[in-house]
Amino acid sequence: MRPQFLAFAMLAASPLPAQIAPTPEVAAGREAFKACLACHDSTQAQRTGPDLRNVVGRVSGQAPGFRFGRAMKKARLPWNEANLDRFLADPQAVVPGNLMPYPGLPDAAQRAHLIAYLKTLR
Amino acid sequence: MRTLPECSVVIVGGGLASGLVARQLARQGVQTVVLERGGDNRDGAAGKIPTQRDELRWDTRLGLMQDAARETYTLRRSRDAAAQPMRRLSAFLPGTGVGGAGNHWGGQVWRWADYNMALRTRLETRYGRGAIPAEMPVQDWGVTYDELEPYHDLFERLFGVSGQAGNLRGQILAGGNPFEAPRRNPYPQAPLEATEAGLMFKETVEREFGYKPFPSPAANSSGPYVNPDGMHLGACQYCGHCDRFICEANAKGAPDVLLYPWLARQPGFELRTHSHVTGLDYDPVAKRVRGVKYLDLVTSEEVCQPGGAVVLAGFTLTNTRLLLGGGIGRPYDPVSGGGVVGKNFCYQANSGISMFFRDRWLNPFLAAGSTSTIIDEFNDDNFDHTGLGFFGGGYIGVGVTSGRPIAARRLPPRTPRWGSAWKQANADWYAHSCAIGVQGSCYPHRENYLDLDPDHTDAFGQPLLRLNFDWRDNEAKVSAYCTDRAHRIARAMGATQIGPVVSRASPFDTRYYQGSHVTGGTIMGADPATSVVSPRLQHWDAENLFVVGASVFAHNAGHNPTGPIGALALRLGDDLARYSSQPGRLS
Repeated sequence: MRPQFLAFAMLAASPLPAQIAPTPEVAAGREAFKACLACHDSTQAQRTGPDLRNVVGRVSGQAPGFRFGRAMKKARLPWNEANLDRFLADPQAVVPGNLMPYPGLPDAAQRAHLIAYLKTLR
Repeated sequence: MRTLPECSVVIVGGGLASGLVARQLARQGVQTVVLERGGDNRDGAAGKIPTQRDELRWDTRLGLMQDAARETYTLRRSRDAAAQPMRRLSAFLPGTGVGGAGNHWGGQVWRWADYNMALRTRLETRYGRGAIPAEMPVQDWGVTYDELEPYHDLFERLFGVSGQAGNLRGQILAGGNPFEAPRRNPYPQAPLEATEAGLMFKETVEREFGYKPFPSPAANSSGPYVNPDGMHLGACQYCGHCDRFICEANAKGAPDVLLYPWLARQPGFELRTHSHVTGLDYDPVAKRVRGVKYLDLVTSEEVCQPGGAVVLAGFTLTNTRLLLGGGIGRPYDPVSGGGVVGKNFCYQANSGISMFFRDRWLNPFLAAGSTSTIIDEFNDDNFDHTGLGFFGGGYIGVGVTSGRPIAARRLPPRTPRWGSAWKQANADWYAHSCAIGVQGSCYPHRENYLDLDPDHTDAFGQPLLRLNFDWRDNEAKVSAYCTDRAHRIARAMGATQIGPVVSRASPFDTRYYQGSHVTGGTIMGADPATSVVSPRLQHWDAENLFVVGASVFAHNAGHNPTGPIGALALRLGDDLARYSSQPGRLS
């Protein structure tokens, strides 16, 4: 159990392998993601929000080990870039009744950076 | 009873003060164990959406609070009465579980006006040596605001406090509290958004009275925040489920978000939950505490945990109760005025006036725990009390904290209490009402004290703590004065209707919430004849015993107590690190 925990800690701390430098977009996205870490920190034992590693390409409500609300489970939204962009702009408009306490990110460029960063979370 | 190997520091209680003390110790590599009677509230329904927002469970039925069936308190308002147990805790709400009351507080955090630390000196200097009545044992705390200031600053940074500075290194800044004690740094975060009701209050007091309103300092994170330990807070969503609840956005400064997860990663720190402390093993000859006795609630085993140093951080009432039960220090005697343990028990003299505005929308559900707009003109000794016949005061402000469906039912006087007319009044006024409130000081009185009840015991067979308390003449006058000031502001705000104007007075009624700010019982001071702990919070009769929390307050000011509690706890952590390597009397 302990070696796994340490591995998760290292992953959350630096999701990119040390030898690959992030692009400016990904670096900006990592900054923007700090606003999300309060709930989406995969090192926390009791997570408020689901683990976002491998979220890009997954279907909504499928993160392992997380108890989603009804809205997100039933939405069955593929998390491609277009859907992520719409969702992050206005979560309640795209998945009404979803339980993420977040009002949305109005700036399109910031959303693009955030999505670029999410793609690196593996 | 099983005796464990000695630990450097043993802390009773797993709440805010304990977490802060432990944080300082962990940073300096001192081995610490924290004993918490409850479990981890985040594991269950209280910490998970959607059950986090269950008003019936966590608010009406006080799901995160101390269970009165297991342990409660008795109350009598005078010594010739028999004390009765409070079968439901309503007035004040002790917490239980990791984080304690810091799980479910509203987040108001203040630095008290600097003269509070030497209140007797202040009042005698300003009003004369004979000005303080004999039955009001106000005293200096033995510590200065200047000594505490760096710890206030650290606490604010650890908890991401949102606010507007009013006094930055002596410079008074517009928009902040002009009466605040000078601070070296601005608040770590910008203030929360003002509510509509707060904006109306601000506009009125500025225009009509020339007061200086400011946003309440708040441990509700106004934005995403990372604290000095790398712990994260989310942005407050103004969801209106703050006090009584665990925050669903991790935006409330709480020990179980900011302190205990960090502590769990520190070598040498251990948190033991479900560990109910039953007493202290005290050696009266050596004047040392050998260890802490507790019941492991999972195995039903009695355990003794020896400690190089022992800290009581279990809330005002538990701290006092453990000292009384352990025979450590002389209990206070109200007849002679001698003794110290249990004396200077104080509370908070609050009052409020409802206001109803037919033509204004005041959505009550858009709220955090500390979305308030406040004035301090009538607080503490911020105004001249010459000829008034009382000391103390309170802050006055408009706070919007909840529009929850069960309890948020502010209705005009003479509304029927059931039926169609009641339903219609709810529809008419739900989004059109607010209240102006007073958070008033409470100064000590000879007849307000804590002791052990001779008749009643808790579920473990131990004597309950007895509250000997009533609102005395001073607090009745403070409350009448401040409530009248609030009333004048309410009239100037142009409400369609104003609710009843009732100030705090005897008899003390425990049946409604008046804040959990019970203070005193183990007060700090420079003189062992009139204090339980030294200015370093070290017990005068047990060299390795320390006490922290509002139990060390010699009086309660017109502000919430958490700020000074945080500062004192962080300072104690540093003192204990010193003590661990060099035991002895700390000076």
